[in-house]
Amino acid sequence: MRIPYVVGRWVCGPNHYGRHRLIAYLLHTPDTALWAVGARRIGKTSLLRQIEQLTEDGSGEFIPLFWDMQGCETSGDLLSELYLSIEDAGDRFAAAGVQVAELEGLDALLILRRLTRMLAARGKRLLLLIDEAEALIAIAQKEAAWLARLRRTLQDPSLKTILASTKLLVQLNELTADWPTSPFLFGFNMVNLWSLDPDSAVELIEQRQSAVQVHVDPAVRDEILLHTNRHPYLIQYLCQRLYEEDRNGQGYLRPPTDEDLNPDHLLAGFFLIDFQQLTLLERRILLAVGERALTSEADLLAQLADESPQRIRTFLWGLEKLGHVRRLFNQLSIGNEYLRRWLHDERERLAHMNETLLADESIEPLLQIGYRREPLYYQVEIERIQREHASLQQALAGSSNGERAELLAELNRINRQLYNARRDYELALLRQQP
Amino acid sequence: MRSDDGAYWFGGDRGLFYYMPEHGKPWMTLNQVRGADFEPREGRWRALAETPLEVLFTYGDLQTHPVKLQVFTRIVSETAATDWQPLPPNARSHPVLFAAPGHYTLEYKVRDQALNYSPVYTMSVAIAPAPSYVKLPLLGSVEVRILQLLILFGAMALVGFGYVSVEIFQHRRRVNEAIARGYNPYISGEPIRRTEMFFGRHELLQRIVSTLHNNSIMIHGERRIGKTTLLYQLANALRSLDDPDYWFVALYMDLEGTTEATFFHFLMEEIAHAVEKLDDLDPAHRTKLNALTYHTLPAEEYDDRDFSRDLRQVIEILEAHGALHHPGKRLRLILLMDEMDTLNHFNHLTQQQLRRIFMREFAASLGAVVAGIEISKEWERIESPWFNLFNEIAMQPFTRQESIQLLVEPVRGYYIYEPDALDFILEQCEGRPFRLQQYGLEAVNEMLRHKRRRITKEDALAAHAIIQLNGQPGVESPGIGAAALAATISAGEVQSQAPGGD
Ligand SMILES: Nc1ncnc2c1ncn2[C@@H]1O[C@H](COP(=O)(O)OP(=O)(O)OP(=O)(O)O)[C@@H](O)[C@H]1O
Ligand SMILES: [Mg+2]
Repeated sequence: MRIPYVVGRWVCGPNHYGRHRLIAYLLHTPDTALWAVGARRIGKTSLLRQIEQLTEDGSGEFIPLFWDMQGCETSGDLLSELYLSIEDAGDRFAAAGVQVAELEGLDALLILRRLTRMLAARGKRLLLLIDEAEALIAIAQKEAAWLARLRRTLQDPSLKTILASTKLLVQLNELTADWPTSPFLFGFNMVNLWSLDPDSAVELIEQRQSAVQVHVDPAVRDEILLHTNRHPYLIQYLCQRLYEEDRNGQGYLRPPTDEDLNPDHLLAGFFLIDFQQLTLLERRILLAVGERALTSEADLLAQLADESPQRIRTFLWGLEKLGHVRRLFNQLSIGNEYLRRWLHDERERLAHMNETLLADESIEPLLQIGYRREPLYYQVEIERIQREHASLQQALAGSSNGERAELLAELNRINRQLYNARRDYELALLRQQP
Repeated sequence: MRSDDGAYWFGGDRGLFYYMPEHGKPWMTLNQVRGADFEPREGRWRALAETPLEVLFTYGDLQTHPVKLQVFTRIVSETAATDWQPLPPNARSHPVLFAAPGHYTLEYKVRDQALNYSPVYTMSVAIAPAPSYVKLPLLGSVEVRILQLLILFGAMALVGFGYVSVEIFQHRRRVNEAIARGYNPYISGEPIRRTEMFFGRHELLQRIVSTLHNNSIMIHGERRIGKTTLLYQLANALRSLDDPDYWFVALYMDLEGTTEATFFHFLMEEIAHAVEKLDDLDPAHRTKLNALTYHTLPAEEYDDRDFSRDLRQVIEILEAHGALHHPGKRLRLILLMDEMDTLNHFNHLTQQQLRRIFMREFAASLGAVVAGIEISKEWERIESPWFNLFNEIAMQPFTRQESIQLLVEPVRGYYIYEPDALDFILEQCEGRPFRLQQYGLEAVNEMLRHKRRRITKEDALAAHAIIQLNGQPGVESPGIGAAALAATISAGEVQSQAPGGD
């Protein structure tokens, strides 16, 4: 027996499900500096690795470079890590005509600049994928000047940078608030990373991208979707527990029991880390929502009457975007069943946790921008999908019989994306109404 | 008998059976039940309660030597099912006795060395109440066994084997010899290396093996609950696993006593040593192995990046080796790290560096199973915690069934536990495998002193007294260290210690 689910390590290729719209957006947007923000275990590293894999053959605009910053405490550490990453991707750069050895001994910023220039000379753009960008916080404290130069390098339009981190990275703005230019994250376009879309979640559950698929009873499938709220890690986590094989070796998922939905030490650990990253107002909202299975927005506003409704809506939006809160039957509820149980069990302790890593004020401006810009984001996306749609239809018109089936399948996929993007756009517009 | 097309013909009481085995999976044929009658209309066997029955079967596998196959069985009644239990090695039959009337299903499956299971084979039995006049004298189970042997070999003689008297004689001789030599198979205070002596955790082991293709695992549980044993057995299982797509290289290492400053050096040393020991390692690869940085750098100076570079080389070597000797299979290097608690005291930066290495692209073929009492989830860094690459498994004490298995199986065919002795020991041990071993060991010693072959409650009490005297069980065991490592990375299995084995 071989359990096909991957629980823990980042995934890419056939193990990576969904995120198609987000990836297309990140690759096509004219913005050159992007920040993908998501809670722990939501798939940030996987997203970057998937983008790396999609672009590494060098046939498109970009040549990717993955830079893992975890465990780096100085610019020297970052340099070593950067160089190791370039070595790891040596073949890719050699194919693009860049000799890695020429970069040895240079400062990290110089390496980046030179690499960018060498690639540009060959008509390519460096796609810098930075994981665990939180490590920069320690560097801001010790090497502010270096960090300022790094920011300039990262925002250079001749390369594209995608940073991935939790929202703790906002601390960088506080630490760099007195910069003569602007705070670090200014100029990075923020995108949220949350659940898989419903189609992809089902594909993951049934392992549709793998050679051997898993039989899943529709009732079991729906239950998994409901309990995990399509959180990719939680789907994998739960499916791994449910996986069995019948006498012929065909894999299937047994129905979950109550016990399967209890968070273990590991999950509890992640939830605690996420909770610690919430601001005080976010914690109040989360605990208030967690008091009952379902809460209406009006009840919530009444319960937190000392805060302005608009402010609560903004923070609530942020909590929904990170998956801590969801809407079920038009009511508010905790993001997923595991988190709900954990909050319930830990309620007392959590209610008395007063130290915070982030102040309400430091994330509020970001949330406001995100909240306000959300419809625009979808609008841009819809336009992009429509362009893709139009060019596909053109291709279809001039296609031979042999190509038609594939093009039609592609068109189908795009139609579905368009449908989903329009729905998201409408929801975002609706939310703007007071 | 095997025919040309790879199928098998079996002679049974009800005629010849033709069986075409599935590739890769072991197979089994249930032939008949001695002591019961087959009811063709109902398609099931009929027998009386409290009557010793014996289910006869044949089994095999295309790849595995019959001796290495393991048969499991369980009994399903209308209301409940027992746990799956292994039959003794080489079993050709299964003695059963139903105490109560009712309908039962006997289920069997065979497992091969690659941990593939056959489908489950079933046999329905209807048990009628025993008429009062057939009430059997209270027989001990060995006597039952001999009686059954008589029946069994009597029947086999009909089919053409004439070894009845020889077999019974040999069985007696074996038991007497065991007593004379003081045969005592229990293993106290040491982790279990031999697969035959590993009980109660087979399902867990199987689950872990099935998970390891894509994942890493963290096992935690109280001291001496069987973590090290499980890691040894995992090493055995992975080494003998014949996976169609993966080539597993498993490597046990004990982190006890490792210092933080030399941690990465220690890891690389263990890995490189294991790779050196691979059969048929290409000389060019050996040279490459000898050129690793860890040979030249002092242990304290060797850091995570040196480790990362060396590891990249090692994986390349293994991949090249695998392409030659295990063509078409993907490498999966599994580090089995014991005493992971050692890392609790390390700086979180070191832990973060370890995570970074595991997350490197070339480390996709690297997996780990780490074991500790309570691996700390404390995390003060702002990056993602190191333990999130793992799946967590809590190791629980043995169930009653598993405990009984651990006590009875090692001496099956030699000695018998009297029920009250068994109950007493089970009560004392609360499912802790090391205690069960200790009680088994001392109780058998006590029994041997009296030249008996039945373990009585008195023996169990004597064992209890000795164990109490020597201090509460549960104290630290001596380290296992290098010797253990050598034992797990050598391919050969330790020889069975049973005297006069079959
Ligand atoms: N797109 C995806 N498809 C399938 N599974 C996914 C996907 N994204 C994430 N996962 C699941 O989530 C797990 C964690 O993914 P990943 O390491 O990318 O998350 P992360 O956000 O980087 O986590 P951390 O915050 O701990 O760094 C994976 O092992 C996998 O189980
Ligand atoms: Mg990550």
